[in-house]
Amino acid sequence: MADAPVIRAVGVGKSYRTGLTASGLREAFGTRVSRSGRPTARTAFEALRDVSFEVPSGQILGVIGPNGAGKSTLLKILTRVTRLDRGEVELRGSVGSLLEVGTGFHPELTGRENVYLNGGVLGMRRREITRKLDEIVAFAEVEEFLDTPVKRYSTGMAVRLAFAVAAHLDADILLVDEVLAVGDARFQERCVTKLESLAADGGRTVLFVSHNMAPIRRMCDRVLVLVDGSLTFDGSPAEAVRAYFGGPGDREGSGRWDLLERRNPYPPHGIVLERLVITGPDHTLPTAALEAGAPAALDIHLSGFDQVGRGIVGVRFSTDAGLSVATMVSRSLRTAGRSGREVVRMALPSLPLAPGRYSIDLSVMSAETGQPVDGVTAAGTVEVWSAGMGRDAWAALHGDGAVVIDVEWSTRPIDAPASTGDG
Amino acid sequence: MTRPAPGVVRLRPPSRVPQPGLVELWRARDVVLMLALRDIKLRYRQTAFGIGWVVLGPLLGAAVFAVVFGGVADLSSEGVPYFVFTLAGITAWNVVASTVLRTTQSLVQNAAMVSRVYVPRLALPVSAMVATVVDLAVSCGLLAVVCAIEGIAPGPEVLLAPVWLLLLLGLAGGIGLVLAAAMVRYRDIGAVVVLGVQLVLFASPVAYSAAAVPARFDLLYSVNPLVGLLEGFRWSVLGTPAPSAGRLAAGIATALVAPVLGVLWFAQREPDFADLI
Repeated sequence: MADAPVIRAVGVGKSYRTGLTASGLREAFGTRVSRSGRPTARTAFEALRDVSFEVPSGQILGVIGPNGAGKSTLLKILTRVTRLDRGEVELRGSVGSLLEVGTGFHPELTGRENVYLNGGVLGMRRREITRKLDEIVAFAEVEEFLDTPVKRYSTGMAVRLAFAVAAHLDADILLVDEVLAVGDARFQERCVTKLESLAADGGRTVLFVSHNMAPIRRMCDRVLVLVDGSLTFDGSPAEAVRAYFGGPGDREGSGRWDLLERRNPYPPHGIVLERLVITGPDHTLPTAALEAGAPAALDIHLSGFDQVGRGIVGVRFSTDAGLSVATMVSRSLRTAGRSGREVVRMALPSLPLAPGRYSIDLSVMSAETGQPVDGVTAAGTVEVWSAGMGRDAWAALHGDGAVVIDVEWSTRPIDAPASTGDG
Repeated sequence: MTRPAPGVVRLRPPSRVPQPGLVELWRARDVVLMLALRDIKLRYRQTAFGIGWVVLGPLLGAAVFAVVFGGVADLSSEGVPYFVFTLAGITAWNVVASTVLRTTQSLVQNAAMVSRVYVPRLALPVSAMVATVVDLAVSCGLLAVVCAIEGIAPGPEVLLAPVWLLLLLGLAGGIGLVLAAAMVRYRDIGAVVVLGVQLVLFASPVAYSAAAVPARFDLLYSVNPLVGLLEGFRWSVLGTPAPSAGRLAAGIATALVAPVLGVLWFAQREPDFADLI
């Protein structure tokens, strides 16, 4: 049966008994447990409920969703790391996982020893590893250090080696979780290319979980959206990203963040940051998915304006790697109404950010004293995308910077007198 | 590139009946060996004395016991030099001690592997057992050398020596599997095992002969399945008196049942390891 799906999940469900869990698990869905105080007796937490989907051979399937939505649980079930409680999964072929790159890596062992150990742990036979050793080492670019203990490697080298081992798994189904978050841009690019070629030329099926929309949009043929353990969307990457970021409610990706609970250690007086709402070109529906080059606006809801008199608002964009991209500071603002509640709008006529993920820090200062009165780090997170650009142009841009600068290119012969550009 | 038609794997909720993954363990034999090799390498890497520690440990232990039990307490060693007598005891005892200690720790020490990748769970304790067997081979060589120096020529019963060691390994492995599974939830087990092993050492005929135990402790002593097996090993190697049929039967029966129960107990709890560890 050539057309039989490679992965068939029917009504998959899994519950954790939170009262019995160790600290690791409690941390994994911290808010849920802490909301009801200390976990009492045996409360069941449904990590996945009734998830069904099929994946045909050769497809790259993406899985996105907020933290704690069940993405990793799904992968852990498919890799048989953990059990499922309800439903059934059918897997046609061997499963290889890049769940945690470098699991089993031991710092005291040499690169070569770790390749064997890690390969074995991931399901490779010894002979197979010997055959692929040169290829793995070349991909990781650690040839000279093969017999050096991994504890003397740089982080980048260790990560490259670990990914190289996993990428050379001879599995029919590859499960990939967030591995592309590591390594530098050039290496990430090679990882993406490698995964693409595994699917295209090798006929492998890839299931790819990520928080980063860039590789999702670039590689995946199809994307599942998981929210609170349920499958809420199954379709094209572009639509999935929109469904995820444009969805209603107050959660990651909605474009609306209540900030009152996340206040910083500033004394509780003066202006208070209450809410951040981000809108796209239409300036009506909140969204955290913004198009590069299109208009966007940040609405910052404040209260207590009347107590301070005049305030100055600062907005900073940073990449998800923590690099500060730009900081915008308002002029001295004063309240127009009497309630002291105000919405400060920062409008961007043309968003100059390259596709990628950015976090937004907010701060407020008193214009009189110049002292900060409130601030929230990572108040919101936006995903910038660009539909107009081809995949590759997009990725190249993403790898090379965070800001799109509007420039004009021209050529002219060197011996000709300088004149206006001729294209 | 076309790939051969692959087999179908069905994942379903775990059944109530424990399903020991022995077939999967066999398929993962490469991993078992690689993990054992890792344990052995790691133990001696960046040590100046290296493998010498495997030899020095039993020698020092035997010397201390010979002085305390043979010299100070003046116990009988069944006509064999006390040092050789205790060295044989320690060689067999170390199979039990290090198997129990290492298998108990095997899951928690490899927690990352348990919670993040699929390795047949049995591979971890079993690889710990393989690593102990390597140490055992070295200490058996040591025992042979010491016997040769002392001019002790074993009789034909020496051929049974590996059987005793295997039985001890099975008994200890079974106990280790139960404890390893329990330790996933209760880390206390780690401390309890270290204490337990120290106590059982003195409740077993390692530093002294079973014959030296007063008759009023007889019943209590017969409860310890190690008595028959440890005395059996010493009988095989040194020609000391063989253990009584009762103690022998108790030891052998326990050693055969323990690994079976251990594997079943382990398999029963295996589905939850990744969530609890």
